[in-house]
Amino acid sequence: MSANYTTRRRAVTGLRFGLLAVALVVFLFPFYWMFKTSVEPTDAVYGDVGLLPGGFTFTHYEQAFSVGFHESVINSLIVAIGTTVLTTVVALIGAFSILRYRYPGRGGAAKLVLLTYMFPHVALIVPVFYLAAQVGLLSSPIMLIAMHTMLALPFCMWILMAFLEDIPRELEEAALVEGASELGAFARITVPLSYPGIIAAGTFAFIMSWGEYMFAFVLMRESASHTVPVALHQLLGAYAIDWGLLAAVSIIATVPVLALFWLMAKYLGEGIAKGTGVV
Amino acid sequence: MTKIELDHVTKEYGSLVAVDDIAIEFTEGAYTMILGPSGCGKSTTLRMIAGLETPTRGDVLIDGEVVTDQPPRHRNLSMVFQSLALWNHKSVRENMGFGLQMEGVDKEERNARIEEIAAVLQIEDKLDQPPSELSGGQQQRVALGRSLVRKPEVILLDEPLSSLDEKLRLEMRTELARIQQELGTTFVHVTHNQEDAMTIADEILLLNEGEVQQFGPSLDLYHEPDNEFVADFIGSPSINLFDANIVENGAVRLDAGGISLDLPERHRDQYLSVPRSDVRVGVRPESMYLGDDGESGWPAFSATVDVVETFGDYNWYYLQSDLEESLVSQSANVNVMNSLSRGDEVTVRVNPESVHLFDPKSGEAYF
Repeated sequence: MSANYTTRRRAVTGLRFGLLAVALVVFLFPFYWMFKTSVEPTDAVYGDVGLLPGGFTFTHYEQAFSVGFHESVINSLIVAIGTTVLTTVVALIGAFSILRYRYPGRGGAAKLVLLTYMFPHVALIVPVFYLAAQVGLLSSPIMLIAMHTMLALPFCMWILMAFLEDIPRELEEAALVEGASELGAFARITVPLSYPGIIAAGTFAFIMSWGEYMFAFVLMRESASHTVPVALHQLLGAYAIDWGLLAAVSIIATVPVLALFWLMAKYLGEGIAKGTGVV
Repeated sequence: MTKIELDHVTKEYGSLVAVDDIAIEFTEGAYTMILGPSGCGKSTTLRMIAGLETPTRGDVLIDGEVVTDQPPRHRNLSMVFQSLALWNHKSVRENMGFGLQMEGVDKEERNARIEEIAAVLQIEDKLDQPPSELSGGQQQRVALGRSLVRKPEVILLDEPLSSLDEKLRLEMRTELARIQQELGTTFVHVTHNQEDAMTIADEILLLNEGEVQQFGPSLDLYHEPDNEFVADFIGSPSINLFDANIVENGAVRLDAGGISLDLPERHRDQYLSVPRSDVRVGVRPESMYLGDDGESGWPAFSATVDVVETFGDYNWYYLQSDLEESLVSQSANVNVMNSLSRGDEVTVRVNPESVHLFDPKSGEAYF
C-alpha cells in the first residue's frame, strides 16, 4: 500500500469521528445546558451568559422536593411500569397468535393494530375523558395505563412479530413432542428466545409512557395524581418562570429513562433494528 | 412395544391433497422408513403420527387407541426434527432433560439418565455447553439423545441425516440402526434417500403424491415391486425400463422393436397369462450380464459400451443398443471389468428370472 493511500484512509477516519463529534455536541448541548442551569444559583441564570455554571448549588433540587415533584415521579413510575408490563404481555400474546395460528380475521387484526398507530390521537381526547368520567377512573392510573398501552401496543407488537417470525416453529414443536403443552412451549421456549425483542418493546413502552403529556393532562385531574410531564408543565408559572427549578426537575425526569437506556442498550439495538427492518 | 396404525388417513390443505387415504399398520419394534420424492406427503404423514398435524379424515391409532385429536404430549413418542430443533438458550443437559422434567422426574434421576444416554452417544463431556458450540455430528447426537433419554415407545425421525456430510451420514446411519436394534424401540424415519431406506430399514412405506405405492420388507420392494414407480424409485442405478410386446412365435419372445429377447420354454405359460400383449419391461442393472458373464441359454442382444463408471469393486456400464433408451448394467465380474472399455461391442444377457413386467397404462406389476 502506498503512503498516499494510508494517509487518505486516516483522513477519512478522522473526518468520520469529526462529524460524529459535531453531531454529539449538537445533541448533547441542550442536556448540558439543562444541567448547568439546574446547579447554578438563580441570580447566575439571569447574569452573564457563560458556558460554565456561574456557581454551584443544590437549592433547586431541594426546591423540587419541597414542591412535591418526587410524588409525580412515583405516579409516573406506576403508570410507566404498568404500561410496560401490560403492553409487553399483550403484544407478545397478540404477536404469537397472529403468527402461529390460522383463524378468520387474523390478517385483518394485524392491519387494525397498525391502523391504531396511524389514528390521530387528539380525536380520542373527548370520548376517553367522557368514558373515564363515566366509570369513575379520572385521576386513576388505571385509565392512563390503558391509554398508554393503546398507544405503545402497535409498535411493540410490530417489534415482537419480527422477533417471533425468526424463531423456527420446530423449536416449539420439539417441546410439544417432549411433553409440553402449547402454553408451556410458549413460556419455556418462545419467550426466552425472544428476550431481546421483549426488552426492546418494553423499553419503548416505558419511554413512551414516561414522556406522554396529552392523555396524562386530560385524565389526571387531581394534582396528587399528576405524572412527570404534567407536573413539569404546572411549574411553568403564569408570571415568573423559575428556570433553575425547571431545569432541576427536568434532570430528575430524565434520570429514570437514562438509567433504563443504559441497562438495556445491549438489547435495544438488535430489537429496534429487527422491528423496523433496518439491519 | 407400541403399535402405530393409520386408519384411512387423508390430509388436505385447501384443494391440495397431501396424504391420500393411507391405511397402514406399522410393525411393532421395527425400523420403518417412510420413503418418497419431495412433496409426496411423507413428512405430513410423520407429523400426523406425532400429533403436530390433524388429519382431515381418518384416524391415527396408537396401541389400538384413537389419538387423532390428542396433543403430542399424550402420545408417548418423541421426534427428531430435520433442523434438529435444539434449544440454544439451554445447555445440552437441559435440552436432553426437558422431556424428563415435563414428566416430573426429579433432578437426580434426570441427571443419571442423561449421563447414561450421553455415554452411549459419546457426548458426555459436552453436557454443560450450549448445542450451538458443538459440531454438526455432535448436535445430531444431542437431538437423538433428547429423544432417547425419555425411553419413549416410538421415535419419529424427519430426515435426520440430510444435513450431514456424506461420511458422517453413513456413520450416523449405522449408529441409528444399531441403537434401534439395541433398544427395540419402534423407529419411524422419513427420508427421500432410497439408499438410506434400503440399507437400514426393516420395512419401507413408499409414497408418491400422497398415495401408498408399496409397504413391506425392504427387499420385497426391491425384488417384487408392486408397480413401475416402486421399481424405478428403489435401486441405484435405476432399473432399466422399456416398452415391448409379448410375441408368440413357436417360443415366447419379448419384442422391444430394436431388440428381441427369446424367453426359455419354462416361462411360456407365465408370459402368455399376461392379459395384454404390450407391456413395460423392467430389468435391474445387475441382472444384465455382459460378455461371457451369465448363462448361455439366457436371452441376449448386442450393445456398445457408451460410458463406464468405476467404483472399485464394481462398474456401471451405460449401453447403447437398438433400443431408444440407454441401458445400464452393473458388473462385479473381474474378467468383464478388466476387458471392457468405452466403445466396445458386447453381448448382453438378461437373467429371465429377474424380468419385471408392468401394465403400460396403470404401471401395476404383472410379475
